[in-house]
Amino acid sequence: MPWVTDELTQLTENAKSIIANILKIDIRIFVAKVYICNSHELSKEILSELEQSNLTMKEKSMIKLFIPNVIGKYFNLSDEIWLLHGEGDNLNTLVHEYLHSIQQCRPNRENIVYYLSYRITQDNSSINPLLIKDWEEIERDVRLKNIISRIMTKGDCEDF
Amino acid sequence: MLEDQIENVLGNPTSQKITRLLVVWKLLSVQDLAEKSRISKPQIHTTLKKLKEQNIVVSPSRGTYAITSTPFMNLLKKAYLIRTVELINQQLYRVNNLLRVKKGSKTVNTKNIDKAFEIYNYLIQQYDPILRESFKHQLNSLSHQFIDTIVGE
Repeated sequence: MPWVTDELTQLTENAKSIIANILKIDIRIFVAKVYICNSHELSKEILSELEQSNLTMKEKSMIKLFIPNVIGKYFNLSDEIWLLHGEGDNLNTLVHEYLHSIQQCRPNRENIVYYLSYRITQDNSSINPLLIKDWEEIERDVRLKNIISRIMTKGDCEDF
Repeated sequence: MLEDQIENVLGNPTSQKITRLLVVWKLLSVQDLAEKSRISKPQIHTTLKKLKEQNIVVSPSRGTYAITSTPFMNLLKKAYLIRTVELINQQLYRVNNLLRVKKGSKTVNTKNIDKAFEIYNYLIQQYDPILRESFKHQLNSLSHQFIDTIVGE
């Protein structure tokens, strides 16, 4: 069963606080419950969520190849964030998944969250430098507040 | 001696390929090297023999090979790793772009998904240890992207 620790509780408070401060949004919107889990539990939960989609056997096999890379996941149906023990139970991953939990835009969901996580944590070891370059240019053109507004409204996440 | 080492490692494409693979994977057998480099086993055997003579490669246990820990090879390892990280970032960026839904489309083009998958598999095959060590967050994001694309989100 996924679990909670005192450290995780502290990490959760830190993550919510830092996101709210930097993005200037209300901390109360972060309602997703956060847990730590092991790799078996995470795989099982991802596959279980995917059962809701009508996927072919080939698509399911493809997805199974990527699951071992997942170190954190926001589950929309249960409104929960699961962090892989020893790999994903850190500020970077939690900030990333919290952003997914409040994200309204789609498609192209990943890069906007990726960039905002970097802006919040300032950890450039976790993001592709070429992507930073792209999004810094976007930020110069449209400003950070419009990127924040983009993630919180329906529509293509890269449509500015 | 150093000049011979440089000549043997940098002046020969087969040596370069083998050396790069050993820098990434740290310890490999001839079979592993053949699979990853697509160089024939006889050619790998010949090259490894020369590299061992030049103290570039050692055989810590029977049938496996690793880079030696000399000042020259340590410098070369660093240079290779920096270049490898650059290459990986470029390829992951490429995969990322292939998986984006372009303006005016509703989904990602199937050809793009296949190409992205092909590049991803190549990266895993060639650079898996480095990816696991230094690209966890990128792999996490990329996996979310692949899953979203396949599910059609």
